[in-house]
Amino acid sequence: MTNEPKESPPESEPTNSGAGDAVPFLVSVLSMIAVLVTVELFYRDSAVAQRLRKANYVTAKRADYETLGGDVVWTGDSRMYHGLNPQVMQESLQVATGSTYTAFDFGLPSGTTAMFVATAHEAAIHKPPPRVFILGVTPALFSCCDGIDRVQSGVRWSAVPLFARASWYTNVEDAGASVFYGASHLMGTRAELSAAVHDLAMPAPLSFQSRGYVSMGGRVPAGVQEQRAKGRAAAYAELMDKSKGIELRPTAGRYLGAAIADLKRHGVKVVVMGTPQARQLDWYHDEKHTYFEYIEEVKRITAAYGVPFVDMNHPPGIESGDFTDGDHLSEPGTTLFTKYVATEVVAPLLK
Amino acid sequence: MAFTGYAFVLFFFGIVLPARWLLPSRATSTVLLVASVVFYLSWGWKLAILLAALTLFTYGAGHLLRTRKEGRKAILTGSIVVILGTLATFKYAAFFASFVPGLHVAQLPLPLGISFYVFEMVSYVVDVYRGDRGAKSLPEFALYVSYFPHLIAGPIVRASELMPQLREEKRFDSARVSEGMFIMLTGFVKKMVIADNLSIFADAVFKKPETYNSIELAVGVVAYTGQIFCDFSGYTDIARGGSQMLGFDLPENFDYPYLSKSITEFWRRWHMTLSRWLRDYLYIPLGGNRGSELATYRNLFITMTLGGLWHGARITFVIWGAYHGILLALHKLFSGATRSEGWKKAREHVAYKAFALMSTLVLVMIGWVFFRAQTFGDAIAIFKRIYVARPEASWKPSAVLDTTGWYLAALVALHVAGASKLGLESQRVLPAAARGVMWAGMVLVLYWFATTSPTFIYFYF
Repeated sequence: MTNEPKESPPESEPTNSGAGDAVPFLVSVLSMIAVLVTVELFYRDSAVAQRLRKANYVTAKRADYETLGGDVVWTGDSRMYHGLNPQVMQESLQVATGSTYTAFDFGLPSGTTAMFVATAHEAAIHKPPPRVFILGVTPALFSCCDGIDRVQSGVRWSAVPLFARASWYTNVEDAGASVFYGASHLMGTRAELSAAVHDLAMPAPLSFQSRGYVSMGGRVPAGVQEQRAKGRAAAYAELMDKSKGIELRPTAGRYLGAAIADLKRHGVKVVVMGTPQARQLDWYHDEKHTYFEYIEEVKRITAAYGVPFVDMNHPPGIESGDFTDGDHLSEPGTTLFTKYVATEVVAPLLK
Repeated sequence: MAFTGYAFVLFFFGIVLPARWLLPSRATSTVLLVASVVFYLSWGWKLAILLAALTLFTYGAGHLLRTRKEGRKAILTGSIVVILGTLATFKYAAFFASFVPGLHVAQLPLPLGISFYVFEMVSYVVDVYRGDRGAKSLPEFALYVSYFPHLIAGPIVRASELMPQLREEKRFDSARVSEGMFIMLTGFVKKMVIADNLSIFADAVFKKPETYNSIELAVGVVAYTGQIFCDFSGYTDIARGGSQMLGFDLPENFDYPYLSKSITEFWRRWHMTLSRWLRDYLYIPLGGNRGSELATYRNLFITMTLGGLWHGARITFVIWGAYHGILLALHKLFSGATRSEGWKKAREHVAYKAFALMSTLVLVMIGWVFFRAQTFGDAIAIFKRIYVARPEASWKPSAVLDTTGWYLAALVALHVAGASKLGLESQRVLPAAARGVMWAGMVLVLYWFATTSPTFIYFYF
């Protein structure tokens, strides 16, 4: 290596840099940043970016929600996405309260608690914010999937502090990633864009039946439901099996806490709701799996933030036959469940 | 906080680099030590306790070796036993216990970077014993051991290489910092674009070799050959580039080893700091080449076998090491027998060079099969299938095989460009603004082609 020749001793406290020395490097860095910012700005308004936003559940639902809003909004994984029907919710609330309320379904297939931070934030910053927000939680989410990687393009810059605060010491990589995803659309949509380039095809835009909701269709024969449910039960049990070293992942709970805190800060009433499941999935409710730890963790978080936890794992009047598999309610099952939640959970909060 | 993660990019470019150059020079060591501690703590505080304890112990041993006149040999022996004993406990206890019938010892989780920092600690006490001055203070020694660019996976640095640099007052040198930036970006591209993409096919092939035909298996072995080079040398580039940006040089670890024309040359160009450590602290103390020819071959074999074992507590690593020990001994034998003028002339011929290069590469690839396979049986099964599992007439390369071909072409291009220093030379002659455009181009290559693998192969060693 070559060192600068020693100069006469400086009169003041020596620093490591001289402006003159640093200029070429700074010019290079600025030039690099200029190129990257140009590409980013060009990309943001491009047809490609718009198309990709429509193909991502968080950003596609965000676009609908910005237009439609909602007094009662929920998020969660696919159990919530297909489990509550906004139309039925609105009608049931009309009956239960005598007032008119709007509802919006922000449920996400394969949703994680990290994704719930993004959707809760959308609701929190909406003008006006919802009056009630339901956060649906599913047992396996707390032991398998606590990463930010599936919500990339859904991270708004204003949500970065939420993500970073929740993850900085339990998952420092998520904290760092949130900064990049929030700052750059190019980074946020990297996964989708790379896949599109790889497949040489743009993903199809998503559309929703009504206010973010998509129905799973009618009831299925009992044998079909049973078979599907058993398959899903085995998969869930894998994700919660303590004998394989699996344990609750702290970041998942911290993301849930961040979502609740954000909503509460904006004056939204929050309910954390255990999502419904068919009875064939109950067999992992034992000490060998993380189920009881999950229950305790959600109770701890909701108590800490002073919000109710309503466990709808086995809601009254809903049987395995109301599901299309182990997780997803059929349309008739959804109607039953939505009516129950509207009357017993949401209406008291609106009153 | 892995080098290839967003958190590290923010940590390095957003905090450490500005703090290192904007704060007064007397704060440099503190800044780097704090940064190193934060970096290691990001992997878990339990790991940091072990590192701190071993750091204290080794510094204390070094201090005693420097100040005592009697009993120095006992201090050296005792400290080496404790340092290597710690490594053995975490890394090898379960492995060796498995050879004792009826004895079961649970495999402890391997503390990150232990194989590397333990070697640096051993080199420190040996060098101090041999007369080196060693560290002036505990913080200086702690910084030498924990300096974050080399902490997790090398290069294995000697105290005498790093400590004098840490004591020097440095001034910001744009040319050197820019070169560091380029080296670092090259490392990112090697790791995230080439290694991680090659790993997709290589991992699949080594996971279920029975489902692939001979062509696919052969390509899988070649893909792993490329993967391990780009993974490890990519890591080293990030470490060296980052350190150069901070004003400190770390030693070279790779010199395009697949361009070697003999196995001896390969080991001069592959993981050079490990080879150097093994030579100075194992091969030479064993007698090196000072004894009979047979003793030299024995020393080579022992050194390489233990070098294989250093990579992990698995019989396949031992076989890999022993295999290279035998090859080195055979090459030494061959070199001794071919010293005539005729052979010298033949070696200059392009056909000989091409043959030597290709045969060395094939021998190295055979070694990688043992290195990568989980068991000896797996490795043998792969060789067998390469020989017998002829592709059917209707066979066509899969999409992933096609893609692997492209990344292998990129690997060849990388060797051609790297060996001729094309990138570094371009970086030097370009004006500052154009250099920035080149960096942006490299970032965009990462954007388009990188896959996300949060770890490096050598983290597990």
